[in-house]
Amino acid sequence: MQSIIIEWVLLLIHSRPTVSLTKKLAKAFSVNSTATFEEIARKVSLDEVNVRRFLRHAMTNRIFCEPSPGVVAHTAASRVLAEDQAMDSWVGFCVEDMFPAASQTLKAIELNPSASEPTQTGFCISNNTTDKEPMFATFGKDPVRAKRMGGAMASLTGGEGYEISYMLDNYDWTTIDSTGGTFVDIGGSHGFVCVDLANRYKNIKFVVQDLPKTVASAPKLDDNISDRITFQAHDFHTEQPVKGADIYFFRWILHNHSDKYALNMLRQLIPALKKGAKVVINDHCLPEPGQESLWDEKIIRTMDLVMLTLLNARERTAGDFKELFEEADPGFKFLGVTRPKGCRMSIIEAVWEGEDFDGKEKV
Amino acid sequence: MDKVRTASNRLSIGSWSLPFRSNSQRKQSRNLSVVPATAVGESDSLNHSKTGISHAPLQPRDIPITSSTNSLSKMTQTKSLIELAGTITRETEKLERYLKESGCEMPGFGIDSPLNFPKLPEDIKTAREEVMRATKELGDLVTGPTESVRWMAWDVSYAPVVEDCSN
Repeated sequence: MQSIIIEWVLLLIHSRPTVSLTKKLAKAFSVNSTATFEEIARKVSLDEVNVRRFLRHAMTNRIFCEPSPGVVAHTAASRVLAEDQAMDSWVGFCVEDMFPAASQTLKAIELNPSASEPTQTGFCISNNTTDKEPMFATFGKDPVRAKRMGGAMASLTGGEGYEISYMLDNYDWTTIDSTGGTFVDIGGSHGFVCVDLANRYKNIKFVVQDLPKTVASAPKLDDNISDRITFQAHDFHTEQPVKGADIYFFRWILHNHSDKYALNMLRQLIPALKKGAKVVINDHCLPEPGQESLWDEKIIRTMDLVMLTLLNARERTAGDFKELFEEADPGFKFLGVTRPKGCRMSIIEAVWEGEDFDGKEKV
Repeated sequence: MDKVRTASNRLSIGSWSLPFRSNSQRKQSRNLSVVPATAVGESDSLNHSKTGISHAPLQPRDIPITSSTNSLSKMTQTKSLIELAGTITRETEKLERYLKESGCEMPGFGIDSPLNFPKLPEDIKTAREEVMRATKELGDLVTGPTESVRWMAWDVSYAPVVEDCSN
């Protein structure tokens, strides 16, 4: 019950895209001043009794304090809510998007126990979009929520342990560089990984694939790398158009998909694969129980539940990745998982040992 | 200043207390700055004069040891990390000694561990509560406000799944 109360309080305190700025409790008065419950109630158009009970509960979490009877002042925690834009997005996404989705997730998996369709999630039930559209489509129609989710995710994955440098420093790039090979970044957004790699390695050619809208909004690249980086509109649920590349790369992609769709994504590569082509995945890799502190393990396991509630997707163990490749096609040979020290993500690698693609020249 | 008492090295105001700090420390602390009266909400008309105490409006995050209103928030008082760790050690020792001496089983996570604490005498009950409170407070402090808010929101958003599953 306590958690529900905190949820209400956070819901009222954090910024709500549907509510004007002045209605935010955290921003109801400046961090360097104080205000009475009555003043705050007037500012946010709520009843004073309710403002008082919400804020006094929040105070038990050190969000706001009451320096003298009836007078509210900020604390460090309420200041975070009032001033930190990234945390504002995070809290908003947690309490307005994730919380309602989580509350419907058991219902969703009772209705569809395989939990494999992104249109049959707790998120879909909570948004009345079951069997209609997946979360990304819902957010696609609502720029405010989409932006908030982007900000929330960036505030988590922009932190320590998620830097692209781990990927750059802990994989053998010299082989592909020495042969001037091709690297395909599937679902590569605006090509962040390729830009960093291109600055470090002078011979690799890059193709960044994403949906047309994302490709169209990619910023102009520096002249010294732009001739080696090509953007291409491509839906990774369909056949891979770049044939004969050396590395096909997925960062933050597979964990957005259930096995059903992840298997299809891997199989869509096969018509393009040459013998020896690598498939490299940069994602969370669930540890076996007890390998990390419960705190660290909880973060990654919560992320696994997030994927379930929002997308019917999942995080995977090393064994899960191995099975995924084996089931996709016996031609994939699983090479293993590397987790760089200090990094929350892992590098998962497989090599194609099946039939060579149908002989067309590589791009 | 009738509500202000000193006891050993502690300044005690109303129901809370904290250690003295020297004047020089006070002056250096930004926490002790006082906002002009004009910046204070209407609430300042709350009748502080009744208590005969001149009310200095508080800065947020203040440690208001110079102010003597008796309703200062405990929430912004910050104990030192070591002080809290000391409380945890001291009170845990009391608790463990009692449990051993009275032949109680030690708490644990295993299936055979006791499911509840035994009925404790008042002082030991207080010691246990102190350990719980100080542990939480120390944890919150070393987590810091931003990360505390982050994980509070995150845990809250997952509560429905976990609670559903345990029902």
